[in-house]
Amino acid sequence: MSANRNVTKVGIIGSGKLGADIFYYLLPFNFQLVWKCIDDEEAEKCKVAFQKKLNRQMKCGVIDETTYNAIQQLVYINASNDSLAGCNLIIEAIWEDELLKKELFAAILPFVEDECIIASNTSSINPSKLIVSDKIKSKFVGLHFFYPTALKNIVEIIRTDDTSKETMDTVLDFCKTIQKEVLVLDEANSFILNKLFLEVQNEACDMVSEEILSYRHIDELVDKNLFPGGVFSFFDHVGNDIMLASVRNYAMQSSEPDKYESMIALLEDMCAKNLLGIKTKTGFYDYNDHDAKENFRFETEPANLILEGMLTCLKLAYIFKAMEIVDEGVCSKEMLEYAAKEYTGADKGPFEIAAEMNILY
Amino acid sequence: MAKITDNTRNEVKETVYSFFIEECEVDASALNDQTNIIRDMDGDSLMFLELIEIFKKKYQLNIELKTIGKYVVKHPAETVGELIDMTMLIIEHENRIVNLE
Repeated sequence: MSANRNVTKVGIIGSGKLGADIFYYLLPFNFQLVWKCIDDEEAEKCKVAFQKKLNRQMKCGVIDETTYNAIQQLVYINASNDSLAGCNLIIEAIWEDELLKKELFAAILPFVEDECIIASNTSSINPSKLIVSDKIKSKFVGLHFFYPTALKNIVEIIRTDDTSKETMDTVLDFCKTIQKEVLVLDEANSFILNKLFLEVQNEACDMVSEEILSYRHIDELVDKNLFPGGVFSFFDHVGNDIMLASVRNYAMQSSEPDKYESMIALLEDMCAKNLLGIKTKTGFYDYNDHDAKENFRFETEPANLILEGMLTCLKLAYIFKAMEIVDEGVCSKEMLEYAAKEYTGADKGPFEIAAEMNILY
Repeated sequence: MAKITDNTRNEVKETVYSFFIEECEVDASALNDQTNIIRDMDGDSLMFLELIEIFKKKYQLNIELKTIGKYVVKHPAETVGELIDMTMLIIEHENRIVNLE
């Protein structure tokens, strides 16, 4: 695989789950990679982990000695802002916090070349809110990877009103080089995939708040009939604090922010109790034992009629949002169907589910 | 397609165990087939991907990560034992694993 014509040196900022994921995904594409961590201690940890992986890959024959040496030459892991000098593209993947991201961009700006494109991997903050200087306005863009990057064939590119055509062309070319399909979105329709699933998640939270169904019931319904992973189990895996921050941002971008009240209240309650999910070993489910147990259980099982009715509500939330996205011209029906399946790993997207329900569109 | 012998499962098990002992810095005595990869060892998808790359090379498998990923999303391996079982299925069925229920 050869490096992109325009982009040859890529900076990745952040060593959390997605920062690391993006770094390792980009490794085989022969870019010069600068991985900037929050401090020296973290950079050292990442260096050790990287070296361990590389050594093991050579030992197991995944890479040969030539590739091993070439990769060593192409990678630079550290904590200093000036290491980003010379990058054509910088991808920020730090904590989902507007202020933190802006502070970071302000700090790196003195070291970044004028022509460098700066991309944020934000999943919920419109990129224009993160622009800290007019100097970078035309070169700033949202570039939303999905986790795990190697398994999700899609990225969302979010352009601001000021993103230049040259920037868009370069980013599109970069995505082609790294073998990703793209959904190009403007800020009025940003993070459209997450917002599609937000409707199902919101409906599920309403059902829990109204004590119609428990987390487990809903997760089983969603997992079996809509997409793998369910709703609350997904929250636990992402982290309820991260979900809360994202949902608050989505609500602010919505014309009906009150609609998400019960979802936000539920996530706030979980965070206040430090029930953050897998990382605290307890969230909507308890992960301390080998089998995850739900933290809240109904004494009686709901009747099948209730389950069927609630499943229909969840399906309709999914389908109607998908139709709204297509009606607004955000993307084609075919693209949204593909992207939804790619994101969730489901066999059927919203439109195939609609067809099964005899909903014509 | 890789030829599966009586010894294949042992080889897979040995590779998976060695991988986690090194990567997660856990003691061999603390590792068994019931060990939960995420909860007990702070494991993640990157580890799974690396293991698949290792097996792809070792058994010359004709597999695409994205195809394998579709199966994994629907049938997540939570424990070391489940991961070994899944690896055996990948070796046996390669990309056709997505057609399995």
